[in-house]
Amino acid sequence: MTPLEQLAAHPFFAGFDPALLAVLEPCVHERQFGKNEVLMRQNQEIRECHFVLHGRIMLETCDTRGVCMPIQTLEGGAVAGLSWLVPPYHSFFDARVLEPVTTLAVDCQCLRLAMDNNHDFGYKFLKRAVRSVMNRLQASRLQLAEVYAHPTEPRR
Amino acid sequence: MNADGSDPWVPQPWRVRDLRRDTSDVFSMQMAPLEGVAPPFKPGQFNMLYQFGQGEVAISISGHAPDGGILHTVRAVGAVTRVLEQIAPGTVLGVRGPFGNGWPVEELRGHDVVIVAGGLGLAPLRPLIEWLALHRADYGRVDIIYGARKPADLLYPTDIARWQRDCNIRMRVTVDNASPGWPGEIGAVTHLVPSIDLDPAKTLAVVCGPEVMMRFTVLALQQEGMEQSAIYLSMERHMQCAVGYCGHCFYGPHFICRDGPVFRFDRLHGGLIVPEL
Repeated sequence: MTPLEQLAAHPFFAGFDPALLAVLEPCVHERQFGKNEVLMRQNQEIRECHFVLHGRIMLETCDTRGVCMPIQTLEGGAVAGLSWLVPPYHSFFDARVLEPVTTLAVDCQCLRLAMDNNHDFGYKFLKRAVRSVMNRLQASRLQLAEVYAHPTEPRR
Repeated sequence: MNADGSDPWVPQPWRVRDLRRDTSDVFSMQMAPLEGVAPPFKPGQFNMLYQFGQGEVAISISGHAPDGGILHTVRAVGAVTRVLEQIAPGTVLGVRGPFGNGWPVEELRGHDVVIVAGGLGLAPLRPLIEWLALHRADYGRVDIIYGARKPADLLYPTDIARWQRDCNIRMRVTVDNASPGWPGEIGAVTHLVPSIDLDPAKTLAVVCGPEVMMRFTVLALQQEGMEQSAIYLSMERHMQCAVGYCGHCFYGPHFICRDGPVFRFDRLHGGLIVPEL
């Protein structure tokens, strides 16, 4: 399978028009990362957006001493590096490999150029990205809400 | 009339044989009747536990206990459960039940099964998981997603390890907050649903946990292509009589105690979104 065919099979692109997706052919290649490798670092430019095929990644935020707080785990089917979408295109978190990871890495400059040059592709891609961001946002809210705690009295 | 012929209104005396603390506010009691053996129960059913002089509370059955007893896992959150938390082994409680319909073990047969549990929601699911483990060949792939606030809040760690190791069950455990070194997942249960890679055509899902968690889990399952009719939930309301007379547990046209607590989602009028239902 070519990287583009693998990308088409990623859940993010389920049902995506293959003709439109073809604009990413020059942008995508497969990458592999070993345990504890860092895919992206907080406050540094995101050069690649990763569509995860296998493995596990930890998003964490670290202080200047290198003490890190785990935020969320990502795995096959997820997208790591959504901050490529808005300037200054910097990562807010470290993304560290927990279990060896295979991703389809999409060059972010190439991706932005493809979206600018082909608005049909850009619009449909952006709808997927927004859905992914929305799902992540809702999941984060649930994390904050301590949703597994016993409910308090109903509001009257 | 109960299945064993007893009067459902009359509490039977049961002795608490053992009481074990699971987490900071959750404990498990092994109980058995003073006379005879515990009546049979279906996974997902509940009992009414009566602390004499204090009150009665509906508690899901969490499984069999040694010597013909039953296990109840309880969160100390209300007046009665806070008293139960303090009792010593040997105490006699009143027990009515079992009540309710239970999980749809027959409907699940032949299907892949996805189980999503949040917090104490694993307690009523434990007998179902043990059933699936015992009759493993009758069911397809079994995936469990279990979420809790933090690692110290996780229930049944020994069982979780056994289910994964011995029962051909894929178990994913996730917490909202963890310290560095936590080997499991971090995040809400909903973010693990896509990773199951379920086949909507042959999968049934069962969900148990706080109502907000169940609502978002249903949305996540639907995003994966599952129909409302393929999702089962266990509902919770204040139950008092447990046999469909008093009306305390009304949910639309249903009595949760008598018609539930397990409902197929498409039959759950209001679908978890109608206010004050």
